[in-house]
Amino acid sequence: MRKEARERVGFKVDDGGRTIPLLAVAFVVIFFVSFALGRYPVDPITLVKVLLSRVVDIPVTWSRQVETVIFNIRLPRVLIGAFIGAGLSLSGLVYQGIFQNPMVSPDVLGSTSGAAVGSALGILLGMGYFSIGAMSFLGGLLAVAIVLLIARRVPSQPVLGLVLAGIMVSSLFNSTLSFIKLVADTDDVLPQITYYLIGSLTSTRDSDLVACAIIVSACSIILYLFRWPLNVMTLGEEEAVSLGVDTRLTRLVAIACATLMTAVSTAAAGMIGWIGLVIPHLVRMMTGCDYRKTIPATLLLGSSFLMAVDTISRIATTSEIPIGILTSFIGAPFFLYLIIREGRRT
Amino acid sequence: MRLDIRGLSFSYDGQRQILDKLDLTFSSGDFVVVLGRNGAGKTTLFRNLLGLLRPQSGTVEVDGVDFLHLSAKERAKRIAYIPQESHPSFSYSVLTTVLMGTTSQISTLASPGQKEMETALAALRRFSIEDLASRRVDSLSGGERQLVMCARALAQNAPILLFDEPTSSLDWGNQIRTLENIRRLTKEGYLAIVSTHNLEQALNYASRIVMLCDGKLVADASPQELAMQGSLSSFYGLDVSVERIRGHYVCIPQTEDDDGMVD
Repeated sequence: MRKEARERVGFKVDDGGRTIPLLAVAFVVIFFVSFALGRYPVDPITLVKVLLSRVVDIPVTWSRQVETVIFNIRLPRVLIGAFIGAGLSLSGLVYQGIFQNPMVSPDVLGSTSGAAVGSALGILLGMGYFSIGAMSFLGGLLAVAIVLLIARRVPSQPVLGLVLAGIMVSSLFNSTLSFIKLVADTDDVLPQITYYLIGSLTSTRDSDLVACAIIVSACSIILYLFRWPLNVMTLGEEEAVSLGVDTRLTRLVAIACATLMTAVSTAAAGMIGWIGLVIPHLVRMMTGCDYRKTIPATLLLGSSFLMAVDTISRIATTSEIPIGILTSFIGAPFFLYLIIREGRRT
Repeated sequence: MRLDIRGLSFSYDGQRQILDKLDLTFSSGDFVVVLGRNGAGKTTLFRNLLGLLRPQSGTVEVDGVDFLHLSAKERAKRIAYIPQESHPSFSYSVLTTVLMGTTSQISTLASPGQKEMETALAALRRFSIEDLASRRVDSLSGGERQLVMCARALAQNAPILLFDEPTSSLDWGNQIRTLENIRRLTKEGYLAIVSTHNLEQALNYASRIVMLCDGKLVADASPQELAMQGSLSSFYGLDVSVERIRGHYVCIPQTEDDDGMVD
């Protein structure tokens, strides 16, 4: 919004003007802190020098070990944490708007479980890396499609229908996952599936980082281009159509991008729950509901959150705590808080 | 501007006709009220006009242009819709809500700019609600919310306005204010099509009243003609006498209990 127009109408709500720069600062701080803490700490000045040395000529004042730690261990991990955090959070934000339901997220909608089953099936069938990724996407899409079909049967209670259908489909897909584990070779395939899905950034590969970076960046750009139709879609089909939105196209793009980001994140790091629910809520508390503000704010907060949680998971105990466990510890009580808050409102 | 509905038929199951060969023509400045008992087809007619449902047969033309085969954006440039009640899951500010009215004026991947902002502000000023601009819609009263919806429709810049029971959830004062606003808009050249269950309001405010029964058109007349015809009694299955008091129509139902009670 232009400043003069804002002044004329006395617009006082923070429309993201201050929040987004603050979140950007938090992102940078957490990025540097992620390097400074852990088994091989790298101070911010050295980090900047090492990173710049790849672009400009700087006298080397650091050991080769530091360079190895940064480029081979820490940087890929911090970056993949940032991309996964951003992708899962944005998925949640988009699903919530498209389904006009602030309580849905990739895990509530069954998308995460579907993607996990797809990945597990891919591993069981001995598929290659990209095929496992594709299976993950198809699994996620299938789960969302089933949830939507069931929810349509409960038109009088759309919110309840969607959440209950999501719980049912998640349960079904979790059982399918258990069945896949049951029939998997206990010496070889089963540990691979379990380790793959545990929700951790420890075993991610460079190819995971590349896939996450490309897909999360591309989907974020596409979704940002659709920021205004996404706003109007939150009013529901009838009003969105009457206001001139191509609802089919917007829904297709939004669900495809959100599911793709969930799938690539699940394929890379396993099941990391709750972030897609918690971050969009926090963002809306800070900036309001407008997607023109919530998309950049969600990307910044989601990536900062997962980088921070991953740092905690690395340093909290001597052996790493899988990140999925930590996000559940934070997300589940937050979900409870939201339910109580919604209950008080109605 | 002219809206032509020709032979419009719609059925959900292919058997029971919800709309049965409707023929209607409306022009700029008309204040049309659609009356009908529950299930008469009013909502279905609106949903067909909005392109949310596809009729089995018939055409809808706006100024000779086949309306039903236009894109959602082109349809929105011609018909604006004011829902009965809008309870979005996410609460936007009044200004952003009214800005949503300008969606059909920008390309799909753009968001409203300065021109659209001016349009939205003008629409807010038109209903004297610019002070509400920064308020969240869910914090407004029913009457204020109705004005926001009207401002959004005005920002849409469409010549036809569809109001779905605009007064049903309002107190009496706001009902009258809303109807006065609609009347003012029709005097400016808008075509307003309003569905309601309130017979008196229809008689007092409409320039034309369209009555639907089982999807069929049973009356298309001016309030004066309708008040004189006595067809209202057969339409509602109830004896209704229409009196005119100080220029206002008052509908008085005649029930068995009335015998001997009136002085």
